[in-house]
Amino acid sequence: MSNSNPEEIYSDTVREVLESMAFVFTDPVDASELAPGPGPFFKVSMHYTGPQKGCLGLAAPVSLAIEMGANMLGADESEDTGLAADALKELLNIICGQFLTRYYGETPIFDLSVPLIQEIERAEWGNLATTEGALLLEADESQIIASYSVEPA
Amino acid sequence: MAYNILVVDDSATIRSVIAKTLEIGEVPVSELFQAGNGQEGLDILKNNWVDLVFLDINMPVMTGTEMIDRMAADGILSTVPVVIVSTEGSTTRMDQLQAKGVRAYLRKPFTPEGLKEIVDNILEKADEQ
Repeated sequence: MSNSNPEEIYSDTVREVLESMAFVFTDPVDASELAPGPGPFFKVSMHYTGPQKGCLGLAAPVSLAIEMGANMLGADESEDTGLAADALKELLNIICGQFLTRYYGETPIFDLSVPLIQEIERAEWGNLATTEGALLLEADESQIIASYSVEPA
Repeated sequence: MAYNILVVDDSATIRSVIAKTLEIGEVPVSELFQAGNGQEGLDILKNNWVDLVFLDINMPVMTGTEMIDRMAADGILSTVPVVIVSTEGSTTRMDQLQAKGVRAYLRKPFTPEGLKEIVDNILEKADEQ
């Protein structure tokens, strides 16, 4: 397992995957700078089990998820929230795979759950940003919440 | 010669990205089949000639690993080349899959060049045989 702390690894992984797959560039900001915009929002989460367990999450405004989905496909943005939800789930799936090898190394085998997604309202979005293990990222005029929970060694 | 290719992934986004990458890379595709899980993939394989399978591991209903096991148990399907396209990076898992006959492993996020190179290698070898 890496000596670096999981927060730093998770933050770097999220930012790199969003940049390379969805062409969205982010900067970490303090939770006190939470300014989510009008919503609604998508929240996606998945678990991994193996030598250790954990849960990773990603939340973003639906409008940003639509933009990321279109960027992944090299297509024009549409109002297809189903495609946006699928794109966000896949982004978390990729983030999870990258995080696991960066944090735990390339030898252990982990089983990953299928990412689950739900639409949330502004109040829950605000709560997410203040939970333990939540990282706030700024992307243009939107914000993203990346969350992680890893079982201690 | 054009090829029939099957893409098995529960993400419609990734299926579309692979389809677009094949198109941009000018891979001669006769028919591109798509499936959302291993069971759907097997159903397509049983009813169609397929030259190459791109297969995700982590899927609902039937995982990629289960689909490989089912293909291995079938005399005809066991000869179809399989390329794993997955987010997982465990070398232990990769070794296990290669022992089951998987031809190549492409980790997400992948580059168009990486995917094209693997396709060219596998399909050129198939043409030579």
